[in-house]
Amino acid sequence: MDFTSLFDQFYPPLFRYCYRLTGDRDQAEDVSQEAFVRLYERKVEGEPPALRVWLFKVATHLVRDQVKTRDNRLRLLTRNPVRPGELPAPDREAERAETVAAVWQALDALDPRDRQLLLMKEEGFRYQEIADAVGVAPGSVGTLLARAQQRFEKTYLTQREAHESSG
Amino acid sequence: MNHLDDGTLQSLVDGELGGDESRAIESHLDDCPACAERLGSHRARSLLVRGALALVDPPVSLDAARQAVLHRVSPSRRPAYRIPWARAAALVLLFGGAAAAAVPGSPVRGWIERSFGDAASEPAALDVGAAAIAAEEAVPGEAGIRIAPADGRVEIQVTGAVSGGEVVVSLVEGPQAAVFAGDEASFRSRSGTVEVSRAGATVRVELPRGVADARLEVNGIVYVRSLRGRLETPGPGADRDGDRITFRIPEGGDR
Repeated sequence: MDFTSLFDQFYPPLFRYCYRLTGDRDQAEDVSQEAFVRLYERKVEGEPPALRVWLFKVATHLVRDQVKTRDNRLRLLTRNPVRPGELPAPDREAERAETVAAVWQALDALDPRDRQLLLMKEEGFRYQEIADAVGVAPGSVGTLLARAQQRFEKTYLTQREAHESSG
Repeated sequence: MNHLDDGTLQSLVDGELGGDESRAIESHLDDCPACAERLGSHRARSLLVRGALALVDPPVSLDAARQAVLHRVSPSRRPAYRIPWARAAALVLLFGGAAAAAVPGSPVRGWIERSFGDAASEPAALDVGAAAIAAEEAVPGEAGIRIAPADGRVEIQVTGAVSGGEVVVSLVEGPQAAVFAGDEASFRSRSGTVEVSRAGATVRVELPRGVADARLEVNGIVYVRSLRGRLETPGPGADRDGDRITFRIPEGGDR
C-alpha cells in the first residue's frame, strides 16, 4: 500500500482516537500528524495492519509524553461548561451538548491506560494489538476492558442523571 | 458451579475467543442463567460505550492534514521515495496539483512525494514552472524534471555525478529546460532553478535554444554558461556536435 492510501485510510481514525484521548483538537492534530511524519521519515515498512498498530502506538506514546492531558480536557470542560438554562440553543442541542459533556466526563474518569485500551478497542483493534500498543499482557486485556467499560458507564450515566435532574 | 469472570465474558463479547473455548463457554451459559445475564450486561455496556463515543467524532480535513504532514517532513531527511504505482524505472515527481495536472499522461495525483525549495515556509506557492517528466519520456533507469525559465534564466546544479560518467547537453526547441539523471536521483526545484543530487553516471540536459541566461554546474564545475543568448562551454572535455554537447566527468570529480 502506498503512503497516500495509508494516510487516507488511517489518518481519520488515528485523529479521532487522539482527539478522544486528549480532548484537544490541536493536540490531536499535532500528534496524529507527527506519527505519520515519523512513519514517512523512517520509511517504516510492513503490512497495513501492522503499520496501523505502529501508528497508534507512536501516537499513544506521544500523548503520554505530552504534559497535562487530563488538565487539557478539564480545561476544555471548564472553558465550555454546560449549565442548564443558560444555553440559547434549542432543547435538542442543549441535550446533545450535555450528553457530549457526560462522555468527556466518563473518559476523564478513566486513568490514561484504561482510556487508551477503551479507545483502541473502539477503533477495532484486537486484544493482541492493544496489548502491544499499550504495554499490557494480552491475557489481561479482557479484564481491563471490562473494568474500563464499567467505570465509563457508571460515570456517564451518573452525569446524565445529574444533568437531567438539574434541568 | 464456577462462574465466568468478567474478562472471559468481555472476550466473548469482543469475539476474541477461539472456537473450542467459545463452545465451552456457550455450553456453560446454557446451564447458568446468572452468567447469561452478566453476558447480556456486558453486551449492553459495550453498545452504550460505542454509542456514547460516537457523539465525539470530530470532522477531519484530509487535504489540510496531508499538507501539514508534508511541511513537517524534514527537508534534510526527505528520502528518494519511489512512487509504487510507476511501472517504468523512471521516477515520476510531482510539484503540486497544478503541475501534475499539466503533465499529460502523468500517473501521479494527490500526494506530493517531494517538496522543494522553500515549500515549507511558502505553503501556498506552487512552482508551476516545474513539472514531472511523464514516465514515457524518460528512458528506463532515468528520472527527470522539466522546468520553465524564470525571467529568462535557468540554473541547473548537479551533484553526485559519477567520475568517468558523461553529461550530455542538447539545445532544443520549446520554452522548457529538462534534466534527466539516474533513477536514484533526487530533485529540488524553485523558480527557474533545479538542484539534482545523487545524479549517477549519466546526466542529460535539455536547454531551450534561445534561453537568455543559463548555467549548468556539475559537481561544482560550470559546464555550460549562456549569457544573453551566447553559449559557452567551459566544462571539461567538451565535444560539440551541432546542438549536442557531450562532456566527460573527470576522474576524482565526484561530489
